[in-house]
Amino acid sequence: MSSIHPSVILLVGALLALLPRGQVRHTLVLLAPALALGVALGLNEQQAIVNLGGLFELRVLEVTIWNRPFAVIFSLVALLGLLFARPLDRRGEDCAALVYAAAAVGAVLAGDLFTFYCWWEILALAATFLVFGGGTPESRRAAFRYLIFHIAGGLILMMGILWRLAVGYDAAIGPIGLDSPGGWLIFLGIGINCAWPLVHTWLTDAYPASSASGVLFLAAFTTKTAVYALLVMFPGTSVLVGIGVVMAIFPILFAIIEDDLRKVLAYSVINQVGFMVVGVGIGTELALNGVVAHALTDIVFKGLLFMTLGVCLYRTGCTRATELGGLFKQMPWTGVCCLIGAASLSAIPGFSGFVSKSMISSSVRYEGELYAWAVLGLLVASAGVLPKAGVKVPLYAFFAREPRIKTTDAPAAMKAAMATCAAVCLLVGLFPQQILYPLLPTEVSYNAYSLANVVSHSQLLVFSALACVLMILAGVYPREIRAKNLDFEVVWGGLCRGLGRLFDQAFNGIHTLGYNIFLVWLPDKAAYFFAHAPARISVWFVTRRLVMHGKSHEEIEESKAGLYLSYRKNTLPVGTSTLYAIVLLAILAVLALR
Amino acid sequence: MTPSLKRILVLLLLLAGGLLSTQLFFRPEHYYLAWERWFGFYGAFGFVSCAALVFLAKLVLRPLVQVKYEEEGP
Repeated sequence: MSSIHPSVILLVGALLALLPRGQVRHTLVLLAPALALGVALGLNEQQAIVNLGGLFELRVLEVTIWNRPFAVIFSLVALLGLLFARPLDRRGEDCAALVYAAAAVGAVLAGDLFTFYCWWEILALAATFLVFGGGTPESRRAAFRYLIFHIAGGLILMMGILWRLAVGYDAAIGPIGLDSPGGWLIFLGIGINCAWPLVHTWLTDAYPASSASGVLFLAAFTTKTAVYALLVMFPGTSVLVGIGVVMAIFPILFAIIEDDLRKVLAYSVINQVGFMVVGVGIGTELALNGVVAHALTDIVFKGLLFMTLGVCLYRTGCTRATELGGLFKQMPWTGVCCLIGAASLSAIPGFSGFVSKSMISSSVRYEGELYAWAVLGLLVASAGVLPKAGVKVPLYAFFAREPRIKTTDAPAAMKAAMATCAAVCLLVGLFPQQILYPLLPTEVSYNAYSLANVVSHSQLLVFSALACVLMILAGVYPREIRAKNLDFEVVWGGLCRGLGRLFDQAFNGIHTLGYNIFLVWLPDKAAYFFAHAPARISVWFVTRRLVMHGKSHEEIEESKAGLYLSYRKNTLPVGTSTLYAIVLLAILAVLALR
Repeated sequence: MTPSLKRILVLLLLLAGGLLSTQLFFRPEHYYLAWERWFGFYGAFGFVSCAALVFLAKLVLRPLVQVKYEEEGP
C-alpha cells in the first residue's frame, strides 16, 4: 500500500522548480514526476480520509480501477513534458506545470466532490499561468479569457455540488445522473472543461497562445480530467453520444481552413475528446475501457504532435502553415516523430490510435441500429482526421515546399521526450494486449486487429487519403491563407460586450440619477430654501401684523420690501430677529407640549 | 503533377485495390448494421465524407469565418 499521495510529490517538485537555475534544479524537477509515476504505478485500491474537526470528512485519496490509469498517464506526461521543456529552462513554467499535474492527479484520485472541486480549481489556476507563460500580449489576453471560462465552469460545478448536498445526496464520487438540477449543473460544469460545442473556444484560444512546452500539459490534463469526471459520474448518459458526435465532426471543418498548425491540433483535441464522450455516453464495459484507452493514447500521440510543433516554434519562431514547410531535411528526427504522431492520430493500423479508437467505434457499432447515426458520425470524423491533421500537420511543417528557414534539429532532451512518445505510440499499436490492456480498468477481450476491422478501417482511411490527393491534383483543396478564423468566440465576445453595455446603462444610469438628485437638485433646492425661506416666513408674519393694524396697501408693500431686503443683506435689527425667533420657538414648544 | 505526388497516388490506388479485393474473399462473423454487408461501403463513405468535409470547409465555412490579418509579419 502506498503511503504518500502522488500529488504531494508533484507539489514538492513544484517548489523545487523555483530553485536557482542549474543541473540540480533540472534533476529535481524530473525526479518529482518520476517518483509520482512510480507511486502511481504502485497504487492499489485504497482510501485516505482527512477529518476536518469532526465536521466533514474529505476522501483525499480513493484509488479505484477507473482513476489509476489516469494517475499513471498524468504522471508520465508530466515527466515527458518537463524533459521536453528542459532546454527552455523556465522556472515559473516548470513550477506551474508541476502544480497543474498535481491538480490533475489529485482530481482523479479524489474520493469526494469537495476534494475534487478543490483540485479542479487549482487545475484552472495553474493552467492560466501556463497560458500566461506564452509571453506574448496575445497569450496574456488568452490567459484572462481562459480564467473567465474556467471560473464560470467552476462556479456552476460548485452550485451543482451544493444543490445535491442540500437535497440530501452525499458527496461521494460515483454515478450522479441527470435526475436533479444539481446533477445538470455538475454535468454542465464538467462540460465546460470538456470543451463541449459552443463552450469550446477557451481551448482553441488558449492552447496555440501558450509556449512550446506549456501546451503539452494543457493538452493532456484539463480535458482528460473532465473526461474522467464524466466517466465516473455520468456513464451511459445517452445525451453524451450526440454531444460527442458533434464534437468529433465540427472541429474538422475549422481545422481544414486553419493556418496555425498548433490551432489545428487544438481542434484535434476537441475532435478526439468527442470520441471519448461518445464512449461515455454508450456506457458499456467495452466503451468505458475504450474511453480510458483512448484518453491514454491521445495524451501521448497528441503530446508528441505538440512536441514536434514545439520544436518548430523553438527553432524557427513560427508554427503557421504559410511560414513553415520543407523542414524534414533539416529536422529529420522531429519529422519522423511527427509522422508517427500523425499516423497514431489518424488511427492507421499498427499505431496506438487505431487500437483505442477501434474500441470506442466498435462499442457503438455493437449497439446496432439504435446508434447507427452515431456510427456514421464517427466514420465521418475518422475519415476527416486525414485532411484535418493527419496529413496537414506533417505536410505543411516538414514537406510541401522547399525550406524557407535554415535551422537544426531538436536539442537532445527534446529528442528523448519525442522518441519516448513515439515508441509508446508504436508499442501500444503493435502490442496492445501486453502494454495497453493491463492498464485498463477491466479485463479486455477485444481484438482490434480482426480482419474485418482492419480492412474496413483501412478502406475508410485509404479512400479518404485518395480523395485528398485527387483534390490537391485538381487544385480544389483549400490553399493555406494567412488569416484569422472566427469561431463561436465571436458570439461570446458579443455577449460579453452586450452585458457590458447593459451593466453600463443600468448601473451607471443609477449612478447618474443619484448624482443628479443628491448632488445637483437637492443641494440647489436646499440652498434656495435656506436662502429665501426665513425672509419669506418673516415677511408673511409681518404682513399679517400690518394688516391687523390697518396699514394701507402701499405701506404694507414698502415694509415687506424693506424687510425682505434686510433679510437678504443680513441687516435686520437684532431685536426684531430675536423676537421672531422667540415666537417661532414658542410655537414649536406649544406644538411639542400638545 | 510532382513525382512524389504521383508515387503517393499510385500507392494509394494499389492499396485501395488490394483492400477491395480482400473484401471479396472474406465475410465478417457478425453484421451489426445493414450497410456492413455492402461491398466497398467503407471506402466509398470515406471518399465521399472526406471530399464533403473539405468542400464544406472551403465553400461554406471559410467565407463565413475567415478574416485576413491587417498587420504584416508573424
